[in-house]
Amino acid sequence: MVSLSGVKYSYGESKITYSDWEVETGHHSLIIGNSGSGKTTLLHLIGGLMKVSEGKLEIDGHELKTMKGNELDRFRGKNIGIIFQRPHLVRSLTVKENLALARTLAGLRKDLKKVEEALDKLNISALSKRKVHQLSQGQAQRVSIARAVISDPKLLLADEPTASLDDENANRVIRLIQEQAENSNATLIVATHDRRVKEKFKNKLSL
Amino acid sequence: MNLILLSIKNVLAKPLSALLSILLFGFGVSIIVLILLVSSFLKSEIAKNAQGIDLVVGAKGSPLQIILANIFHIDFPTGNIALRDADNLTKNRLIASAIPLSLGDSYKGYRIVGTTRKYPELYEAGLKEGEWFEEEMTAVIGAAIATELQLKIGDELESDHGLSANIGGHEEHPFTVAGILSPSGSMLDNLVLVSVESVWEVHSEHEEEHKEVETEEIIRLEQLGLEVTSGQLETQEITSLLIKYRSPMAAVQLPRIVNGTSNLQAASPPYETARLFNIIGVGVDVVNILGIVIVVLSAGSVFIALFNSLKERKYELAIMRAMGAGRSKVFRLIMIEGLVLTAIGSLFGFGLAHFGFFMLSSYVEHTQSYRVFFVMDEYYVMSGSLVVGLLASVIPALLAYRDNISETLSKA
Repeated sequence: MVSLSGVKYSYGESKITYSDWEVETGHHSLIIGNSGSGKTTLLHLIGGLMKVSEGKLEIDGHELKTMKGNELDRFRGKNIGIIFQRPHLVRSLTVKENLALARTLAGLRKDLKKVEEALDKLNISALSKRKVHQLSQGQAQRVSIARAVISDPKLLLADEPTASLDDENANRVIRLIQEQAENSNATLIVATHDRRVKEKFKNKLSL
Repeated sequence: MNLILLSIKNVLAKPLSALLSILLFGFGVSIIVLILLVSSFLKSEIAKNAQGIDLVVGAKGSPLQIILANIFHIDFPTGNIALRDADNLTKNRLIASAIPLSLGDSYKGYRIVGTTRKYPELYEAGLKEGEWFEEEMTAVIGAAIATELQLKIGDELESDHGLSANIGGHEEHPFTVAGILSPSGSMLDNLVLVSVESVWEVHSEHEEEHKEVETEEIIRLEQLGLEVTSGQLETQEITSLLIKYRSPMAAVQLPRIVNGTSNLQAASPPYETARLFNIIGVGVDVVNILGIVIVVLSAGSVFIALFNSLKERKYELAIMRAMGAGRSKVFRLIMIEGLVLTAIGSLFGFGLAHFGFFMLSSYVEHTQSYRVFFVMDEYYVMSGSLVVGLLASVIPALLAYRDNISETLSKA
């Protein structure tokens, strides 16, 4: 699903070189490293939010570097779901509308039934009509997980999902993300510095 | 979730800042539109009231005053002219027709106009009920007066001397209402029409009593539509003549001939109203500039509102991009938000201006009937205000368009 060979990324003076890495379809993997080691950068490269400076990065057989702006946006919307460090939901909309928006932005049908199912799976059906500012942080994170999987992505990326959580909640969130990835048959890649998460993944890339 | 709905929700999510932008924009637009409505209304009223009148001849004085007094019935007349002079003038071959007017009296603030049947014909006015005025102290009243003062056929009007009510005057010579005009939207709605002879009778009873016994030859003044005795022809006066030219040549020659006659003054309605508009024009320009300044300020407030909300929503927009929205979609979203604000503001402004105009016109005209008044230029104001809205939104939208989402998201 994901293949890195000779990938380098340079910004300004500094340059990060990544070792070659393969992620099989359906496998759950971990990118682990300390802050500043380039985890988020790599995740953004894989997610097509920016482009590699050198080397080859393929997602599901497509080389991202060759895609043009709009093409890349569309590819990302259809194939890649991203869970960011912080939820950043659209504040003027309700929970349900946020999920529906994610589907339309990905170029899919709104499909309210699908939205309800996703809310149901994450146990947040009761929140569906709430505005974003009425949610707790944990609830907002669940909504952001639901948003990332609502379009049935082939690849699910998560950036430091457990960073500010206690042990119990960190475990729960990781389990939740893994479950969601399995439910939608997505390949999962988590980037983290959190050692607690380490033993839950077999395939690892240490930076 | 389509883009327009999302834009509207985004705008509504900040109700106070949206309200401020809308109010500012609305007030600016409403000032411009109101000025536009009032000035085009005035122009059309003037054109309507001056139709078919090429030249007004009155006593020596200000030509603008002659126009205002004799066409629009708002200023005082410059004085009277001798019937003899008027008759002599109308014999000129350059004149196609001439209507005599005799002003000076009023009834409860409404002007009494001594004239002939040709005057209402000029405005194509018809009778709603009753009959036309005759020589003997009968009157036809305008539609607005009839409703305002609750007058009906057969009522008696005691005229006041001068043009304002309660100065006291001619109680012993009341007019009888013979007819009521259909509403025409012209000055006629607010006038009391009587015959020239009736006006003379009101004013000259004492001096002329002795003459009634004499049998004098009746002279017919063909052009003026009056029949007078030779004594009357020498002594009586009228206020003005409304003249229609026979040929365009008259426009050059006739004013010169009139002004060369010692007591007469010619006034051309188009020329004098153009002069009047030049005088008012300065004030109109000042208020217009004020309106434009407010619109520009409010465009600034739309810009700031979008800019601030953009700063707050930076991550939100970056994530929308990450979820598959292209750059152009984000650009359009911000543009539509700006347009929604300015379109609502501009609609509010148009509503306010038309409401204000309705209030003004129902206050000024005594009639309650509001004619929907919409001028072509309003389309320019509307599209102009939308262009201003687009300009105010384009920079915030470009910033959203050019945002480096990876950088924004890694700072989160």
